[in-house]
Amino acid sequence: MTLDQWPTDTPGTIAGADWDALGVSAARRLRAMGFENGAVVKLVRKGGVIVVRLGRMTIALRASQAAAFSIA
Amino acid sequence: MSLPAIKIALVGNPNAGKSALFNALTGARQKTGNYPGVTVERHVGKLVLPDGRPAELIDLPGTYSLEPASPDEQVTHDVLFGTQAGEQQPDALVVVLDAGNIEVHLRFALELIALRLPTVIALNMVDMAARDGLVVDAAKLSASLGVPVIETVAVRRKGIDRLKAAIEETRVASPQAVEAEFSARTRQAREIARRAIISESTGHAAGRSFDRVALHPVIGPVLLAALLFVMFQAVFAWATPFADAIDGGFGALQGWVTGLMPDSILRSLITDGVIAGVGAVVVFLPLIVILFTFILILEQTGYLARAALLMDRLMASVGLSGRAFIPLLSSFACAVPGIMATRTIEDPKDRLTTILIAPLMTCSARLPVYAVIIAAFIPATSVGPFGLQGLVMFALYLSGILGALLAAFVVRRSVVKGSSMGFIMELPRYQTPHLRDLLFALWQKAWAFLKRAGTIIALTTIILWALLSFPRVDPSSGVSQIDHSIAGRIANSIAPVFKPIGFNRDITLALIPAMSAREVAVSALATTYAIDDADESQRDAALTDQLAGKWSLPTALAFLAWFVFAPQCISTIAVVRRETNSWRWTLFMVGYLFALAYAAAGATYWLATSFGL
Repeated sequence: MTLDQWPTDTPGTIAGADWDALGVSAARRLRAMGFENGAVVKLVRKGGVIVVRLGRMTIALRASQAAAFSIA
Repeated sequence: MSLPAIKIALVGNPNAGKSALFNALTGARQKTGNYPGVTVERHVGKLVLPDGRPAELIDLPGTYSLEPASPDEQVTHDVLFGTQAGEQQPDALVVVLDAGNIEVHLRFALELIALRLPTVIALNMVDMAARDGLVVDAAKLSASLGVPVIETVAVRRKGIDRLKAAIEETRVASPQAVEAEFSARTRQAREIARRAIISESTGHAAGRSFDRVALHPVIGPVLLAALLFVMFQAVFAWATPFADAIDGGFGALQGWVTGLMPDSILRSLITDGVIAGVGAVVVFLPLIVILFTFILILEQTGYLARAALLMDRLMASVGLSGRAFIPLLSSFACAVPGIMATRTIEDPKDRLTTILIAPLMTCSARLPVYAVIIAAFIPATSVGPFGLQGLVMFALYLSGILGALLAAFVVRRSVVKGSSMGFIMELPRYQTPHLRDLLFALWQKAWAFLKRAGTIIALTTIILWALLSFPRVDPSSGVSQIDHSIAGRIANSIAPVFKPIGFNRDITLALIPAMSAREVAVSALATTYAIDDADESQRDAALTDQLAGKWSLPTALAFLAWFVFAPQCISTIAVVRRETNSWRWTLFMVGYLFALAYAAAGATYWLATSFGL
């Protein structure tokens, strides 16, 4: 399942990321924020812009960008 | 002879509390400028180390890593590597970490430590981290990193003296080896964080539950709209008494100087030129201060990032991102700080588009123009529960916003084509704004505005006064001073261009000086009618009556429509030139706004005329 479709308030682990689809700068920014394989994320908002808790950070990104991450 | 100043760079992730720490370390001894050739602001402050040595602290733009993703981050990279033109490589680094988010922030800190510059770490916001249930052992962290780690709470000025003392001793530190590869470094950061964290609990999550409301797909936008509505109401309601007081003060000053000096050209220059011109602009200071108070509070509480998120859907529909919301909101006060705030937009295409449409947000300088024309031509009747005058004002603001969205839509599909970076934003924790930092930021905004009023606006009003006053007409000849003056002759010669859209000579005359600052259109009309009429008393009160008598309603409406899109003031054009670094884009903006204004004014004039208004 991709991150944008993941149910809210349920911890999930990033299993894969399509960095090429995100483009260089978005990929760089998300990696620096801690998006990577094995990171545990929790969705707190769904919609056009989703909100993810990753560690102690709260990060907003577009659903179309979140679709680049597969969650297990 | 004084000791040479040590150069220290302040660097860290966004939202680590860097600005507050900068203020705490340097107090008011700050200077803001620009890096040569780029559009990034350069903040430098002075401090004295405990041993008496002077030091210069440079505040570098916040970044997540040394791989730059925006012009801001490029500067941070270049300064740290000593490749920024006109900037020496710093002698020492102060790295700011958010204690509540050390896992992520440590990865960047490791990257900085690997530069092998003398480094001290400010473990900032330890109070907030504790509130969130996270306690970090600074000594353990220091042992793992091989550099001093000082706990700070910058907003409360805690740990600042210890930090200064540590800066002195940075030279003796021996930093640990840092993993070169990205993922390995991330693991290393996580391992160091794990060892340094003494206790970790979820803490109380007041902010998180508020986000359930603030970010709710339905309640969130309603809350934002209500907040903005209250904000704009309050801004204009609260600013009025202060503005009136300033207006009265300048009026009294004018009267006092008039009484002091004999009637002469010099007196006219001081009273009609300098005092009237500068006064007409300084009147907006309360409005700008109040609007920025709201914006700064929204920013410091952390809500502004949420607002940007909520606006992303609307912005995305015209090809922009939610990040554009913050600069556009500032543009309601003035396009100059608004356009400067676009620096936080990483994507160059999003940023350019935002710059091009920012002048369509109705800035406070247009407000007096609207106010005077509405008072003169729109009857104070009611439409349902609303006043007609207020509705017209609202319609003018709305036209600007819709025009901006439309312009962005067109621009993003024609001249600024291509996909964007999307929308990625860290939502900072909610926190109480700090009065000292708030007042300091406000003072900087107000001072910048007053400096503009004292220089460019004062100068243009003096020039206008001279162009209107010379050559002098013989009072017995019966020729009007305006028609005889240089300005009048210029206006008469370009009047045919504006005749088709219903503008008379006086409007044409006002449009020229309005290029210096749009509110000058009002004082220009006032000056024009004042120089025409002998009676100079009660100028403002008389102006509405003068206009109502001399202009037709279609002309007045066309004038309003013109000002929704009007070509921008010189300061805006100058800042667009600086921020885009291109005359081509600057001329494009001026050209498209001029065309829009001409078309809108013409359409309004002919529609109004055909309806027999």
